[in-house]
Amino acid sequence: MSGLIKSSIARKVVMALSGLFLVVFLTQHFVINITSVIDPETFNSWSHFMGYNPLIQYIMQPILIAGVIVHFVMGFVLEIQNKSARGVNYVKYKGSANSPWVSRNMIYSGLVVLAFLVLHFYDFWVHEMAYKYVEVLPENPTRYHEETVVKFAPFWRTILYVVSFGLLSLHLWHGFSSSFQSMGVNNKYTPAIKTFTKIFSVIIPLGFAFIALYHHLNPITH
Amino acid sequence: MKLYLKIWRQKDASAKGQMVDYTLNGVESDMSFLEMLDILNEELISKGEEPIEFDHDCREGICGTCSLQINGRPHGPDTMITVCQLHMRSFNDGDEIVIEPWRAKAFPVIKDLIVDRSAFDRIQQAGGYISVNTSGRPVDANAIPIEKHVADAAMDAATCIGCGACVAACKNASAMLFTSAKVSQFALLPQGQVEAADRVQNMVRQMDLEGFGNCTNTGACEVECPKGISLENIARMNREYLSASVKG
Repeated sequence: MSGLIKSSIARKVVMALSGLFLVVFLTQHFVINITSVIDPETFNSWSHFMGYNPLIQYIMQPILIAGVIVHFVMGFVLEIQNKSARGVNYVKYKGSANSPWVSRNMIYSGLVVLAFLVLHFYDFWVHEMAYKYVEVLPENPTRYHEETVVKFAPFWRTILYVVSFGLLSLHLWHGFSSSFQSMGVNNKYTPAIKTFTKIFSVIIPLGFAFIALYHHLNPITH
Repeated sequence: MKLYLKIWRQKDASAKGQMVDYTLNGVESDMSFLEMLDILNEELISKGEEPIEFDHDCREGICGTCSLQINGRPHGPDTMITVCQLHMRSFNDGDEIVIEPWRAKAFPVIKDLIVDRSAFDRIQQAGGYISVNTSGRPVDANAIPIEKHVADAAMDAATCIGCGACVAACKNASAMLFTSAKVSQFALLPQGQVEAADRVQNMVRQMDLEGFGNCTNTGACEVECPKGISLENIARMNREYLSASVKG
């Protein structure tokens, strides 16, 4: 087993499993967020549940944060090893002739998503932690929708979110189906996995972008 | 036709190399790429200059020796061929052609366009063999029934000529396609089962030790492989490796 931990294949499987875990989380996040457009009351009630359920707060949330950290730290480790494996760079290297741009630039789409996560955590998670554990304010199951809509009032934040979702789409476009290959799945289901990947990687980020733009264009007026 | 060549020149393994410009006249479209280099070398020799060292052997597309990165692609612009099968009709009069050696830390340059690919030999030696006698005495390998699609897949993997184009093409200089082909050709067949677990673990360990990069599934190797080795082999090696590691 010690060889497994040090091997290139094991590192790729760690990337694949953490990536797939984040895809599942992303889907759940989207399902909750879209209710902020469809039905604010449902959004408030689900958000309150997510924010105060002990299983989600003390078990799932740390697992999620660990998943994010493992994914990007391993991504950096692999990138450094991969860059070093070339040694001397080619004078002329025509990667576009044999591989898609998204597959060759996962580190850059990933870095944008990581930078976005810093902003996103600052916007919502830090605020939520302060509300609950620093200021220790009383539970208010109706505050979430308004807090979300207000966040998207500034144009700059909305645009940063939309651009980040574009890069997330590119990251998913290669990463989702690629994770199956890394885990050894390449069979008669692979074309279906690739098709689903393309649909998922467009629909979900587009949906997130729609939510951000919707709240920017429909501010709450008291 | 007249060609403007930019070729990597490096005196020896420790020297610092550089691109050198050459202009070559009288190239005919039915020449192979290696014949074009032969003519350039004859010109250099007649001028008293050091000829350009490049690897070549069978010139029939089956030995995997000719290893040149041509205009940014292993074995040049055409697919499913080695450099010896690349002909000058793939280029136009007045073209600039950039010729470099394979670039990978695990494939150090020996001289000019020649690299040391013994890393592949060491991966093979780590497990790319079977220890059963299939010579026909006492057991004929052909007497063991094997399903046609399994035999075909094993044969497809076995067509790997170890040229290193997969490493050269990969942005990570990963040797996963080569290693997976050498694992797959045995993993699929009954004769390969005896050492299956040790084979994949030892070959992957050696591959990592040699300093090749990690596979990021760009698919460049599959596109550039002159024998069309499929990414399915990498998935198979991943399965074999994980299964062998978990079983201990």
